[in-house]
Amino acid sequence: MTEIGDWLFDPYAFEFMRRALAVLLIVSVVGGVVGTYVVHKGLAFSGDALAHSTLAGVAIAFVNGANVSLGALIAAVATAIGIGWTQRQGRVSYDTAIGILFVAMFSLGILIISSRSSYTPDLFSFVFGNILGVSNSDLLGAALLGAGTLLFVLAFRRELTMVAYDPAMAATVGVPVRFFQYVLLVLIAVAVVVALKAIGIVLVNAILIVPAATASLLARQVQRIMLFAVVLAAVSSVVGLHISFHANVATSPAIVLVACALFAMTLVVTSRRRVVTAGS
Amino acid sequence: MVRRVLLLPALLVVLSGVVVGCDSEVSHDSSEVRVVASTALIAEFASVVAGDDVMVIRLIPPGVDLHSFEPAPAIAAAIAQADLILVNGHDLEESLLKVIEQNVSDGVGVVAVSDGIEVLLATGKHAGDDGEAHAGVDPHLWLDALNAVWYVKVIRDALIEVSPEHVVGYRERAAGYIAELQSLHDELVAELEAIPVEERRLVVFHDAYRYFAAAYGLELLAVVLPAGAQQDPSAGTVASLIELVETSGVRVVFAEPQFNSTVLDQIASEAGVGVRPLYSTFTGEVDNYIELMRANAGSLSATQR
Amino acid sequence: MRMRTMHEHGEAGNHELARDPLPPGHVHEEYALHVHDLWTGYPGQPPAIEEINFNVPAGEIVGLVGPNGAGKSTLFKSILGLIKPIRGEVHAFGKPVHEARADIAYMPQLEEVDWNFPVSVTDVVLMGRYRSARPFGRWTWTDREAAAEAIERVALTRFADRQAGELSGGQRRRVLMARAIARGAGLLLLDEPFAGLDAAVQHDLLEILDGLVQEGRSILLATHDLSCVASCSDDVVCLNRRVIAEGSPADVLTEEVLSRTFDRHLLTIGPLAAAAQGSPRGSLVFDEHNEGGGGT
Repeated sequence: MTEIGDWLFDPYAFEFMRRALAVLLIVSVVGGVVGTYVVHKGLAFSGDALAHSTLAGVAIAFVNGANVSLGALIAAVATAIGIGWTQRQGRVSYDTAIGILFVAMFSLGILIISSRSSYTPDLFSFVFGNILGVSNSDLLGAALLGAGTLLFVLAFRRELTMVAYDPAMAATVGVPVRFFQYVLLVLIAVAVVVALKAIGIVLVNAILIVPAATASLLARQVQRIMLFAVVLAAVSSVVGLHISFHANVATSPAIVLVACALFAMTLVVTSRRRVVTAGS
Repeated sequence: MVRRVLLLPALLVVLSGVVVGCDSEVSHDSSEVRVVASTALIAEFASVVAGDDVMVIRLIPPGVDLHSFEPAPAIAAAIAQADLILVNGHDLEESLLKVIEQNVSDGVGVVAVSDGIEVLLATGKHAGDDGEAHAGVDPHLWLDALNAVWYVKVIRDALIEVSPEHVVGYRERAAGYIAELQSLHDELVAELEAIPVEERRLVVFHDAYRYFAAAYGLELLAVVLPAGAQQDPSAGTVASLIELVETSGVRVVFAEPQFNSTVLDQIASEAGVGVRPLYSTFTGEVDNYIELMRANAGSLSATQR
Repeated sequence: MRMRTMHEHGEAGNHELARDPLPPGHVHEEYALHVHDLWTGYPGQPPAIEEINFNVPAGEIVGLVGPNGAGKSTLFKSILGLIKPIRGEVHAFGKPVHEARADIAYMPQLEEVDWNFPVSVTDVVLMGRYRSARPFGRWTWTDREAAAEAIERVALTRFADRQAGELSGGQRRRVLMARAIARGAGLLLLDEPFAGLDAAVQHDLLEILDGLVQEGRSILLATHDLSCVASCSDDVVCLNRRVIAEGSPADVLTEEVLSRTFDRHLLTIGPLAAAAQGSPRGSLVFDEHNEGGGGT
């Protein structure tokens, strides 16, 4: 029996494993909660888009000798606001707005870098962290992000849900609809940038989408979906981290594949029970 | 109506034909000989040998990761106008090589400056044992000063061939620089010999130091990211690296400034060792070869203090 | 109620009867809704609605009819405080609308709602109880009771915990209606509540509306369905950028008024007029793209 105990707990003798786990659990909370909105409002593309949009900010910051992480954050927030604006003004879907801003910002970053003829390190790698190299500041950033996000969503869960479900009616009862629509996007942007630094792009994307998608197969009510999503994200993280340790494979993909496997299994199990909805 | 619909595709076909059929040669002022070097390091060597006699143009700015390098049109133009193109060899420049292939003018030579040097495979074996030698060859040959000498010789000979009128200058400058490089080599050997054997072990982030280790009596213990900076390490690997560092008794591990090495930092902090820089390419502060090699030696011998 | 003046399109017309006899600024507490000289539009364009004057007296149902583009939604948005008018005033229960939010409930068209979003029927109906943006706000016990009552009223109690999106079109309508009812507001604004529903479901909805009116609530409903309006409203307002006519269904739903309102020459008003008199509702449904009506 102690063998199983060893197998389970030995990896956590290493500090980097404990840090990785801590960050993953925090980010699971953010991913599950924010991810529920992402999945149900057609914003699944946004995680990747916002992550790539940081390149423009990083390039501009680097060229001007400013703080690169701050540049990344500003670029992501600007992109989020741009997405909101484009969707409203252009009357296009979120997908389209996200797509446009994504390619614009990313290309801007590449353009700036391509014009450089002096020393330019691999800028993008400084924005993307690695789950196995979590620093104290990464951990602190993730914790603050987690707490902030949770607090905000708890404080305004009624408003956020009303704006997501029926913005026209929400406006009539006094909800500042435009504010919350933009805030949701900015929230995603901040979550992406902070999580990016801690866990890297592959994981950020996945953790916003997959657990919430799986949870939506199990529950049909926002709050319950969020709860399930957080649990699923945490479970995927722990299992994936473990597999990465014992089977000697890369961590981020392992976690993502576990999350996707959970989705597939849930899909199979619930497909028999699921009622086909009349018109959507 | 049918005719209008066919017009657009027909137009596209015609346009492509025009583009493809166009003469790819760009005419330029033939009095000025243009030499194009792929990396900053090769450009430096070429400039030293060429002096003021010819123009040397560098394609890739220092520090840029070759995997994410996006060439601007100016680069294609520079390639098209070159009289001689110098590349490292063994696929170091990856996708840029295709750009070179497509844009080089007819009759212009593309010279791989490391051609002829005995290579090491990325797995540590010597090439030539089997027919598969080309794949998996470590291209970072320049980090052995004697290989650098070879580079200079190849560059010199290529320059002589493309502009024989300056042969005297080339030979002179090449000889002078080669002498410097040879004394640099001796200097490094001496400096690194002084380090006790147990401490001549390298745990590095980026897999570029095989030739460096072989030339100066160092042992390459481990590489964090053997498949390049884009690789995602596994938790198991990180754990074994930590254990390796702890048991090996090294006091320092080595990062490269142009890569984000948080994983290496974490390994170092958990194993209780320090982190110092090693250079495989130029950076903001280290912008010439001799300084680069001295900085590497300094990084290693500094662990002694 | 007698019919008010008819306006010619674009002409000054006879204003005296149309204009409210009381001076502006006078508070009309007995009206659930008082719209005075309202002009509303969007920037850079001519006004979408002009010189709108009408009232919804307490305890009555007023039907708002007009073609697409007539300005019905613009009028609703002005009443709901979503657009600022160019000129004019809107008062609900004697107060300007932005102060009367709690007294107005809104039921939008089905298409405007994201039915895919995972909320239960109860969640949706509770939204009607919303008062103001406050951090960490919660629904009170009173809110939950009101919601449960409203759900009961529209006969959806056994679906209370189902995802709203799983319901059929008619059921979804009832959910939105429950939401409007739960608010406890004196004035309900309903946007196309009958669109696409079969006669039986329409009948059920009408019964619910009657119940609300009997409680003393007031209703303004926008619709294309003239036969429905004919039988259920106390008053009808015909709108096509301006008020074409206002008055009882019998007076207003004439061929001439409807032609002006819908820009079409309409025949066969017979069954419609009969309906307006209160006789059994004919199944006449107006298709404004036809020249003349058709029976079904």
